[in-house]
Amino acid sequence: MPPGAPPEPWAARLRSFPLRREIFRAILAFLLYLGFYWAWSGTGLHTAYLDLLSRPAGALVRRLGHFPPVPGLPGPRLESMHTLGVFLLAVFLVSTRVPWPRRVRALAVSLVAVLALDFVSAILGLQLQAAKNAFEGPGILILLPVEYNALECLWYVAYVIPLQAGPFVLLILSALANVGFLEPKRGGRETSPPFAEETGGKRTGIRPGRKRILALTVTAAVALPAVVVTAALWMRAREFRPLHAGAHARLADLYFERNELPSARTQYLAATAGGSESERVWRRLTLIAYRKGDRAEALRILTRAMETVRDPALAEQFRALRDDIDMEDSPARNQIIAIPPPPSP
Amino acid sequence: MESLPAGETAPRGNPGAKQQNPVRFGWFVVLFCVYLLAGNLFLLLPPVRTGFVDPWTSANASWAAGAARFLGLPCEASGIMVSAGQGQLAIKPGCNGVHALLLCLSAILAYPASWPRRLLGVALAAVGVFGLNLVRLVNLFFVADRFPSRLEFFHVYVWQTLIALLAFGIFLVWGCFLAGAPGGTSRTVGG
Repeated sequence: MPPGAPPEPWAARLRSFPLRREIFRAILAFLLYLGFYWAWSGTGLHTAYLDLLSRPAGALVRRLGHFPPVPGLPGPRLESMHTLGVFLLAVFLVSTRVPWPRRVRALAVSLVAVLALDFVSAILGLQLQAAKNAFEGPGILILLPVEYNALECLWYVAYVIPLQAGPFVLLILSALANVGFLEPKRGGRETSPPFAEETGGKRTGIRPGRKRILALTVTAAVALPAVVVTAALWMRAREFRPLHAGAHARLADLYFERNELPSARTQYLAATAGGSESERVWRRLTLIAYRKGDRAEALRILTRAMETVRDPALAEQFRALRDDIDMEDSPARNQIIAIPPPPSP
Repeated sequence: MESLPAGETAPRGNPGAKQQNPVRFGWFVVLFCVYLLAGNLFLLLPPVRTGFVDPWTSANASWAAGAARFLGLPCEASGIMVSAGQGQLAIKPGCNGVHALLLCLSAILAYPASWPRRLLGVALAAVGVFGLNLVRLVNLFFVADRFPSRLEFFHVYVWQTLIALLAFGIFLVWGCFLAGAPGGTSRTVGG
């Protein structure tokens, strides 16, 4: 700060801080928190809270997920969640210098914020866990590396940073509230009293009201469609990534091996739409159509296979099969339909 | 009633109140969040991680294992892995105190003070946070050995909050005694 800059009264207020009192208050909050945590986990409330978050978050992950559940894998579970809400309750109880109505209001607002944060981090955590399980288990890449890294970064911001910074921020805010820095302005608005006094009731900062609501509405009106369009474009673009098509193919193999042919067909079709040139994918897709008795679809698939694969020998195999599909003694037919190759690892 | 420091005006209807600009406090909050976020993302960068975070984490593991041995717990550190009695622990990047220091650092840098005093605050915070982090690691080694089922409780819920409490204390002490007068001009007494 330059030497000639005007002093900052809020900082001056910190310099005249009732240090011992506020540190004692913080220690008391910590001890209360430990007691509350014991009750919170001992009575099963923590598990109930995890369930409360897991159910809607899990449902949302399944609903928005691009891939169906991987067969044979258990659904992702929330293992732990930070206890900012419990700490908040402790801070609420020790903030005795803040009048009750304001304290209750601050608690309610903060709890809603904590709940929202926990919900977002639960969604991200479940999605990341599902991706990790699918990769470490059957080797399915349900999130591309760039997607996984981006989600992990968001999860870090929504979960890890609040885990570390949450208690610190709560303690600072409660200390400021207890020394009166966050007292309400005349007329009921929450702001610093000296500010209200100096301006004689006028507000000089960003003021709530129509302008702010309008600005928020315009921002939301621009940002939300932009996010939706970007997400839709990305979802479309990722379909053509070889890794993504490979994930569809691997998932289809799992369904195929479990004899869940309609699900396998859907995933194989997605893989072929993404440009998969895997011999196994096209053979099995043909086989599913043939087993279904849909000869026309089998022929269509083989024609598409011939056009898609760049390997001339493989394309020739598909052509031979298409030509011989009705000939039971054809080596091409028997090679492709009767003995499909095993899935690659 | 206190006299107003030079440069401050008495507001209408309350001659004792000092000039206050709420944007300044809001600015502190914004800067704190920006520094915290930027610092966390900076620590995630691969060169920072391999060049600083990982070696620092290994060093912490080694020092804490040495301290635990001194206190009678058979302890051996190999990189970030520590075998403490019957327990085996991996010291992760979040357990090396750097993130806790980042909290203090963000608050100190966002606070209106001169640079020498900020550096003094950062030094104080580094000594306090890293010191307590070593105590934390040694304690966790003992917990892993004696009460392994309580490890998560101590690791996540007790020490995480305790370190935040320490960071809060350091920031307040620095703000009250070491940050100097606002703007480096005069010392004021708030009401």
